[in-house]
Parts: sequence; structure tokens; C-alpha cells
Amino acid sequence: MDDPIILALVLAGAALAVAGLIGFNRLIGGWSPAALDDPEAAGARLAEDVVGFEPGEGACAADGRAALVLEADGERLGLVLARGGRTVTRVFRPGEVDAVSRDGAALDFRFSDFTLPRARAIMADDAEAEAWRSKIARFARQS
Amino acid sequence: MPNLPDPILIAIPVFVALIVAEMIYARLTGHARFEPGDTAASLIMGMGNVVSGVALGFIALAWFTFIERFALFDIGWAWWAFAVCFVLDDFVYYWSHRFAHTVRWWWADHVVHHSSQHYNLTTALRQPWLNPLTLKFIFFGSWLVLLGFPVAMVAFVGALNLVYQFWIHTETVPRLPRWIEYVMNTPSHHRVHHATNPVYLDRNYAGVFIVWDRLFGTFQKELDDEKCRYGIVKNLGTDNPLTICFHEWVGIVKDVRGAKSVREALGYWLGPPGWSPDGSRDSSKIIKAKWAERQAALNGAGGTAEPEAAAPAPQPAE
Repeated sequence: MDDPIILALVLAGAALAVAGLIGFNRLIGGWSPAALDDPEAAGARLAEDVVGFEPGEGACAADGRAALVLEADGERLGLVLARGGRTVTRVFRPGEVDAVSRDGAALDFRFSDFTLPRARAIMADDAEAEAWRSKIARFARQS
Repeated sequence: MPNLPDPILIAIPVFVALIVAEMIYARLTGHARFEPGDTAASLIMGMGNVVSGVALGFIALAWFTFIERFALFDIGWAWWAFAVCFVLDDFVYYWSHRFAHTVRWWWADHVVHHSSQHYNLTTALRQPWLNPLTLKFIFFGSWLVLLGFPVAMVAFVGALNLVYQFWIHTETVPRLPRWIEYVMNTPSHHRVHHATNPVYLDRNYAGVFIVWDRLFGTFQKELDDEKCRYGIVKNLGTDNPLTICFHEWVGIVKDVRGAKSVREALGYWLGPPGWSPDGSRDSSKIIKAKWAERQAALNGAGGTAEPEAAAPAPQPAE
């Protein structure tokens, strides 16, 4: 690939192929967004990802895009987030979350995590959001 | 010197055709999964890898051209030299790949390939952009050139090795006949390599021949009752190519800046991924040990060992 013209053609062809494959993937479908509607399932997911995590009390966001699960002994807070068709988990000890704040029924999290700097969990109502905010306040440096 | 073709360039149309075929098969049978965001990220990483290879490849080429003069033998271009070079290159690949998982500096580069939570043919193309800058080629690429294999031959067999590895990134191929599974790296073996289940972590580093893993104690069979969960221990939750490319480098810089001593800084840089001075983070070794301890406790066998000292995960024979 020393010839710049051939190189440009190869790259243009590759870019077209990439665009075509993404378009084809969209066109034929076959995937569905992950839904978190069962705190027990969210806890099980955390237990799979984090060896030794014993799920305790949990709650799922009203839109099914997030779940909060406290460890049975209250030592750690587990967070499960739906990302596309997959879920992503994080576990925090007290003081490891940068900030938790409430905006109506929504709980907003900020993390010192380059790949996941913030997250939002929209709970069923303001009361549930406030109840969880106070439960998990100790995991945040700011609350 | 024969005029060798570029196997990867020739293979690109085949790659595209196979990805389309796998997408259709996935849609029809549900035996594979694709998601446009993930597909886009993998393919963009693949394209970026080609571009960076062209832009930064001169670094490795300059090194190999420099060391070629110190070669022990002049092996030449005999047909058997290609065969020997292919096997030896795969042996070197095994060790290079093993170190890519156990030294964070090299993992920061290789983690890109493992960052998808899907496992399909596009995952094969999810490749890093900064590979030449890690200087891994000096430590693992030099041996064959110093033995006397021509640089172009080493590059050619290396490309063949990578082309072979494309097709094993799929959930659509079940286990193959026993003798193939015994000798060759297969989709089943490589699914294990991409899985984060503790029993599967840091196993099956092979490129083409799985015998290296069997020889050096890193082989793990895919288990019927342990479905592979793909990705990395701390999944990214983003399809942004820049985040995928740089996240572990950012992590290294943050950790090294916060280190309290040179030893700590070196540990964060060159220690295993997940290393921390107080052991508060989970490296693969710690995860596997915790898991083994838990399994032992569940099986009523005690499980009192300290995590670092616990027995390694069981390695069922095939």
C-alpha cells in the first residue's frame, strides 16, 4: 500500500463498506433494547459481574433503563444500566460516587469514571426517588 | 525476494461478505447478535487500525530493517521456511498475546479488542489504533527476524495469522470435530477467551494453534453449563470510538499521577490490569481466586484460602 492513490481507494472502499454494513444491520433489525424491570434480575446481573456481591434491596427505574441494588449487608451499592441491548454494571463503596442529586423523580449520578461519567435513574415518583437518595447518600462524596 | 501479496487486503471483501452472511443468519436463527451501535464501533475501530498501521507502521519497519543485519542465519525463501516461520510466529503470538493481557501498558492497547459485549465477526475487526506506540513489536516481533527469517516473510505469515483469526469470532459455529478442537484455535476456544466469566478469564491466548495453551497451562474448554458473557470486567457502556481507544490509557495516566512512590507508579503502568498497591481493585487473578474460593465453599469443601493463594480455577480436560 505504498501508492497513495491505491491507499485512498482502499480507504474509500473500506469506509463505504463500513457504512453499508452499519446500514444493513439497521435495516434488518433483530435487536431490542435491554429492559430492567425486575430488581432481582438486576441483582443477579450484579452478582454475575462482581464475584461475591450479595444482592439485597433493589429498585428499577420507571423507564427500565437503570436499577439500583444495595448489597445485603449494605456495604456496597450496585448500579445496573441498560446500554442498547446490553447492561453495564458498577459497584461502589461509601464515598466512591462523586455526587448524587435528585431532580423530581430522577436521580442523577456523577462518577470519576472516564467511560461512565454520569448516569440517570428515573424512579416511579418523587417520593421513591427521595427515599433512594437518602438511602444511598453515604456512597456519594456530595449529596 | 518473491512479490508477496497482502493477505489482509485480499481478505477484506471476504470479511465483508461473511459479516453480511452472519447478520442474515443471526436475524433468521437468533444464534448470533448484532447491534448497530456496537457494529459501527467495531468497524470504525477496524478502519482506524488500518489507517494507524499505515501512518505509524514505519516505526516497526524501521526497527526490523535495523535489526535484520544482526540476524543469526540467512534462512531465505524456501517453501519450508514459510511453514516454519508460520508456526514459530504463532508461538510468538501466543506469548505476545499473553503479555497483552497481563501487562497493563499492553492491555491498554489490546483492551479495545475485548471491549464489545457482543461476539460476532465485527468483533474481530475491533482493533486498537495505537499499537505501534506500545513498542510491543520490539519485544515479540524481533525474534524471528533475529533468527534470520526475512522481514517480509515474518510480516506475511503474521498477516495470515490475523486472517485466520477472523472467522473464530462467532457464536454461529458450535464445537468442531474433536481432532480440530485439539489442535486448532476454534470459535469455541476463542469464545472462552473473550468471556468474562471467572472460569474463563485469561485463558486461550492462542492465535492459530491451541496447542500452545495446552502446553503452557492456559487452556480452558468451553463448558456446556457456563454460557460465555462477553466484554471486559468493567464494561464501557459506550460505543464512542475515542473512549474505546483511549479509556485505559487515561486510567493509567490518572493512576500514575496519583501514585505515592515509584514502585506504585510502576505497578500501575506495568503491573497486571486491575493491580493496586493495597489489592483493593480486582485483577483477573484476584477475581479467579475469589471465584474459586466461593465455588469451594458452595461445594462444601471449606474455601478458607486467602484470595491470592487460592487454587486456580479448575481446568477440565477435554
